[in-house]
Amino acid sequence: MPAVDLRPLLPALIVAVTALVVLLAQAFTPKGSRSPSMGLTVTGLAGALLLSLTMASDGRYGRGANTGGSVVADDFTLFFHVLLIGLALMAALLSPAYYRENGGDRGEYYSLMMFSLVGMLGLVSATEMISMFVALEIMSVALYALCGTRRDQVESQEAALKYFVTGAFASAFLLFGMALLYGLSGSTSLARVARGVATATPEQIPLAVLGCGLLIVGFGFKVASVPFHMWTPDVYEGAPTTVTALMAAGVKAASFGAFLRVFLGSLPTLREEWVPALAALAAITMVIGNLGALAQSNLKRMLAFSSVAHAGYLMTGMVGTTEASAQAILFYLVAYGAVNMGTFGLIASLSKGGREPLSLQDVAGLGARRPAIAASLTVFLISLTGIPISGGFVGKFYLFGAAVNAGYTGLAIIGVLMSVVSAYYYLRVVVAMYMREPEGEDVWSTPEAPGRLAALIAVAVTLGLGIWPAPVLDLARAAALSLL
Amino acid sequence: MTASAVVFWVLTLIVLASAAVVVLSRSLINSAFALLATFSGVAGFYVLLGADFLAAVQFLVYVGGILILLVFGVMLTHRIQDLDLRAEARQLVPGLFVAAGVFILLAAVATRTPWAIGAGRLPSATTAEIGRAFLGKYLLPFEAASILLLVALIGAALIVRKREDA
Amino acid sequence: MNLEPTLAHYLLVSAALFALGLLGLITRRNAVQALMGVELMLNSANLNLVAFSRFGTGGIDGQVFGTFVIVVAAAEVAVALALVLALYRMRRTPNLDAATTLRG
Repeated sequence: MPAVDLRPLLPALIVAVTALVVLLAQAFTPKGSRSPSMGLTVTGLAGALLLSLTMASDGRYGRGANTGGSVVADDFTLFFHVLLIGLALMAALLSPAYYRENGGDRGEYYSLMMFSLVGMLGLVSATEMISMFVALEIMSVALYALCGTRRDQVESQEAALKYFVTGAFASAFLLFGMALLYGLSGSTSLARVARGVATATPEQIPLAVLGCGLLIVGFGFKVASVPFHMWTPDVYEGAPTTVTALMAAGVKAASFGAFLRVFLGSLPTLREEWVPALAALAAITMVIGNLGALAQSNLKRMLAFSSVAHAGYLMTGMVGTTEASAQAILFYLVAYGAVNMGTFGLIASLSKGGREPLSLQDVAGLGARRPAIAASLTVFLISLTGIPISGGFVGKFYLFGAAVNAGYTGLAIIGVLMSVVSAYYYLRVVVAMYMREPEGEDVWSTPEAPGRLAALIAVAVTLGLGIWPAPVLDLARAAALSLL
Repeated sequence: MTASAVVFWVLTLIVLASAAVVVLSRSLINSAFALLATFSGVAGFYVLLGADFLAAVQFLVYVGGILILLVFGVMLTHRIQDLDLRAEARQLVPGLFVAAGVFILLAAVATRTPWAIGAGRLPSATTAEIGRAFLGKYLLPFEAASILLLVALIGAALIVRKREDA
Repeated sequence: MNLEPTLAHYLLVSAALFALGLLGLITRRNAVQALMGVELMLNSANLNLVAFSRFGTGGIDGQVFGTFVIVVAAAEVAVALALVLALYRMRRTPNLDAATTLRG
């Protein structure tokens, strides 16, 4: 047995310790003085990010270091760690201005955000079902509470409660599926489960399939795929916008990470059974997500349905079950994460006195009044649509390519058609920003330096992935190889 | 029929009947008390299955903690003079369909699968074994569970705290 | 009919418990009662784990998993009841879909 190397746990540890420091600093900050929360959070997250980057560039961790059996630090884990910490860092930069305008810039908020990140980090690296379940719950419980942090707003509380009920439902299904797989294989380790499923007798196959099915329901809720998406619009609308950003970008990425590790990494021998189910879910998810978005006038609800639609695109990539499909999904998660963080982040940084620009009237004429913001939003929206020179285009190209190679040409065609449909509701916003006359006074805030920095990073990543995708594609490929 | 078989069927009756009351009762208080019977019945199953430690945990945490919290929840969300603790139902028919479908699926697999039986591998007292697992093989999730509890603590306190003078 | 409890018997009880919990979660508007449904589902999964640990090849792992599930359930309930209380304080109803503010 090779020596146990606990260094890969360090980034998560740093994040958890920073969360505690922020909590304590909050308690010792005299009333009225500037809150140190954001500074501490950004420092801690930047440290964790640097450490993850160092480990990711260190070749030793390629196929996975021995960290004691519960988690693994392979290229797949490190890819997600860099992505997730980066997304949380952007969310932290966006938070202080938003919370000053909406009340309650408190240490607990940053602390919970970081604990949720710890859960995400664990979720993508867990190789054993108990750790995976506990990590999933750390992520979820912290987010249930975060959704309710706008305590003076009924919407926020309602959103939190709805998110809790659907989330608990998902956890119960996931847990039952895990219990069945444990019964089949006699072990909680994913590697042993994989062996148990691979050597299952024909009479045991229904059990394995049922376990898989329950897991798909559980993960389906977490990634917001149809028919388990009904919570998404309400929760995205009701939650504080910076939390919505973290949910849309981070939770989706972390859940897909675990989804990939379990299904592509451990259950490939059952692919005959779960691929058709996933393909069907992907198809209805893309259709319902995009049609739902068409009907929305509220930007946050529109983006929620767009998040559902994107779960469908990502699942389209998964039907390939090859390393190329995992690569496409990882790449797209980066592009999608940056775009969502940017879009929700800009909405959040424009908010003033408890109001946010949420309707087309609110953003009308933004191109003339706030050229930089309108230009950034345009970049994000064309990436969501999947128009060339944006990361979204390259990502969709690879996702649909993976589906075509797997023989699911129909699914890819649905994806392309639905992307065309989506152009209508995304570009409607762009048209409102540039072609319509502004209405009334300019009532929105000016984004502050940290928020501008986060938006700039998002724009740079989105355009960078569109113009020069090779480096991230290579990293995603290495990560995919370490998974399969 | 052996004694353990009798106990099993009595517990089955208690658990399923009380769970049905939990779900179908129109009074929240009745549901909460029926839940007490369900949790205790499940603890009984654990004893029957040789999981003595887990049975104790089930009693302490579920009956002693979670149930009390739930009863608090029921009490605090209805003022005492509100005698009408009705819980209205919705979507009863589709709900029944989904639940019945899930049950049939699970039951079919449970009865048809040839289970790999490896009985007798469990020690008679499980506490030491579980302790060793917590501090050995499952040390990492064990530590992570403390983060989870901390998160719940912070989250709950943050949500219910009264709004400051802002 | 064989009345001695076997693994399949436990799994059947657990399946019934899961279905009842699911029914509660789908049909109850009251958040506290939906929460009770979740608890039933978690208990049923736990019963499965413990039965597998006793009859199957799983050894002690199932019971360890079960202990973790109980911890998770406690954490979930604490946060959920905080949310119910906060919402009730504002709206005076613990119902999930009495929502007037968010269109469902």
